[in-house]
Amino acid sequence: MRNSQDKITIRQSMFVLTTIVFSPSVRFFPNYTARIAKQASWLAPFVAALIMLPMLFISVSIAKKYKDASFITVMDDICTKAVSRVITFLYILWLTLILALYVRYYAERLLTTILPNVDMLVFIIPMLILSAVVARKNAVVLARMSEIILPVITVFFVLCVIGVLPEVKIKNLTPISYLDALPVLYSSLGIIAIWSYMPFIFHFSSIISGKESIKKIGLQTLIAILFISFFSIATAVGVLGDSIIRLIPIPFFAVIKQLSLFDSIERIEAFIVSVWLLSDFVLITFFTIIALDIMKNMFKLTDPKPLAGIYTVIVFFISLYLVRSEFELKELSDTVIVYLNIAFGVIIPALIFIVGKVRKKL
Amino acid sequence: MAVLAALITALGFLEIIPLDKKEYKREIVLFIFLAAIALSLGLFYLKDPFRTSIAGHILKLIGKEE
Repeated sequence: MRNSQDKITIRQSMFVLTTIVFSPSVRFFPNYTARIAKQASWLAPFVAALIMLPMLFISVSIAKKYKDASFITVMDDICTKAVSRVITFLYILWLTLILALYVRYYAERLLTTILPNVDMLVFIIPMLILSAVVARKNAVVLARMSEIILPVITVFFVLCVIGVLPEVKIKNLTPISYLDALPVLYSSLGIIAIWSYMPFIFHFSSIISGKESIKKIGLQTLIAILFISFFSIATAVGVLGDSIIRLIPIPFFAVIKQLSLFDSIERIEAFIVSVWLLSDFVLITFFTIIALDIMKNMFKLTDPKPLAGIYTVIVFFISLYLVRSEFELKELSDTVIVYLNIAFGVIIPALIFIVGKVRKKL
Repeated sequence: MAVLAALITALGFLEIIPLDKKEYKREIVLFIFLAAIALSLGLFYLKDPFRTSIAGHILKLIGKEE
């Protein structure tokens, strides 16, 4: 199953995915879902999981027919080559945009949480240099790093959740009635927007081998990210209440700040920032690798790695030019990126699948 | 701006020489294209770092910001 040269296994790719999802989960989900679904926001991950299940089966169906082929090859076969190239080009643009967005989120988070009044270039430049260096190696390096990083993140997250559980007030998470159904459904879009990286990573990487075992490992990953998303929302809303959570930029951080172990160990929020940095690093580097991989398939390159440096320079300038304030960053994320993610991560693969079924290619 | 141009040129030399030795023509063409984009973006940003951002334009377009 493992091709040690430059391919990662499906299991490793899902390790990477879970690591990637951690950072947006704790930053974005509590705030987004609390604004829409209020006290019922903790139900949104379950609705999102139900909606994502068909996507998993679409992935299984594509993997059965096309094995380890990249999605560009799949699109070439299902649609015409011209349509496939246009869609692929749009994917490169989207990927560059969200990469720049995450670079900016990473810098803004450090500025908001522990290091205000520092020039953000101090954070952005080392991160992008490090990402370019790792992206120049191969995905295996990052996948093996994720195999170490994810357990660290999981242990820390579980300890934080256990620590804040006594502070959770049931009255902040109830009452739930049928009137919450639509807000919960709507708020689950924010969660799907991030989870949609799962089908995207799966389809668009020709660096992943053993795609035929996506069913079992995909389900395990879905349960893992459901666990992270549910507890990040339930603890944040349960401790502070939806009316406060919707006003705080990084709710989970605010909750952890209140955590005190045995009245002796305090200010453990610095650890969550460190864990966030690891997650952001994996996210930025892996998306850079995928962008290079898509370019490789699109332009029929032999070796796209030398492009890593210049590509990160482009991402660097876009991240600077993307937003001017945290308000713009949040507004862009909520009103544009959520829907773009759903379009590129869920709708386009689903449409390709439907076209494939109609044309009897799948 | 001169520093940016020098940096991109230096990066270009570092990457293009090994690519040329391996005769990877497509990679060289794409590298030059990406370098041109990077340089244009850099110059555009450095000319006025406080101009309306991409998000500002998008939000204005969809009527979310005045």
